[in-house]
Amino acid sequence: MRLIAQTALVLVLAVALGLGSAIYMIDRGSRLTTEQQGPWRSWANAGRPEADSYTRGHAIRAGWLMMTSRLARYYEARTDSSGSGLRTDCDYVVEGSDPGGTWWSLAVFDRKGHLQRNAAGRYAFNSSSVMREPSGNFQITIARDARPGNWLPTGRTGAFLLQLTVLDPVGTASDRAKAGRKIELPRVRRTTCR
Amino acid sequence: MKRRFLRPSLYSLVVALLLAALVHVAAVLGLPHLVRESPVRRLAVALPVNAMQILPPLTPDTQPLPFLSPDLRYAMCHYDLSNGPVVLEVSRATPSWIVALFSETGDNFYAATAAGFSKGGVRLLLVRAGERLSNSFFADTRLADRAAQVTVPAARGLIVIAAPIEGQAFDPGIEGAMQSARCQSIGRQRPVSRANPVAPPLVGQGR
Repeated sequence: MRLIAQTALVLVLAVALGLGSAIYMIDRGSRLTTEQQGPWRSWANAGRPEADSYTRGHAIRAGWLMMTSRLARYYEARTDSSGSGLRTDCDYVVEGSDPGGTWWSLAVFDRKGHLQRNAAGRYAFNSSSVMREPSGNFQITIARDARPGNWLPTGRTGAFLLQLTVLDPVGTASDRAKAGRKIELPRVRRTTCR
Repeated sequence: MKRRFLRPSLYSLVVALLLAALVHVAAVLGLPHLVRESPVRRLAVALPVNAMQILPPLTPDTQPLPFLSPDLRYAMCHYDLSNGPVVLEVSRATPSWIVALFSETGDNFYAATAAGFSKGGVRLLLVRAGERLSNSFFADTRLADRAAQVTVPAARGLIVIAAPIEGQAFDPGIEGAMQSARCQSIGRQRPVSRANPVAPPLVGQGR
């Protein structure tokens, strides 16, 4: 009887640990598969045929059609720069300079990657559409209600994420790659909460 | 008494960890086979075969897949090489446009920007691995002329053209330029009678 109980316990523990760790590694990644810079996380080998099984699993589970990370790099932030989760009842400012590449776009999605319905019909800013300061830097306000300047609306309820897409991230046609400079990603600063 | 009854020994903990490692590996490796609906297959079933489809601007109502950037306009073609090679032609692409080829499992096996192509626009000839094209095939098939040859891993897959939206005012222009995109099967090739031609070099390979 004791043997049966212990075997059952071992099996339950093994399945829970094995599946739990697999789901975690596929959903969130690790240092082996992702690169973290501030609140931004990026899958290093996304879209590539030689990508590891975790990266492939991530794309399949998320239903995400990832272009090769050589040509398009996706950075995802689920928290602000202080580590607090992004919530629609708070306002945030995304600020910084051009992250590099030939073009970039910042979009708001819900946690499952769906665009969030809003009255302004605005879902993203990009390197062409964003208004800049004289220094060339930009500030984008992420808030539920309208704000002056670059305002990107969130949905009405719940958590959300930011996705920064950078095309030609390694600068195959620019001097950036030759200089070996690291891509500078913007800060995500929480301003107010309701 | 009950607590002691269920207290695991060191041996059973080691066995549990080893089994957990096996379950972990099986789950990670098995996932692509368990989930039949890869993002490419989900898109492919909604698209005509060997025809280019321009997607409307992405909104919550038109978003076909999660995480697609709404600041890109997309045109897609579900290609099928069962009846012979497929030609992709985008004559009015601007340099920032991206052409990406995906296998049904979601691998982006080829990607390039339009900047890498000649002024005549993007021209790709998709052929299956091991398929050899004759010189006369190129001579007889105007569409295949001057096209860079790309070997695809399987007969079916997806072509994605992504165009950055520089601003709302440019959107109609992008859609107009996307109308120039063609994705077309050019039928069964003739048997090889002479040496293979040297295809123009690939401008970018997504690997």
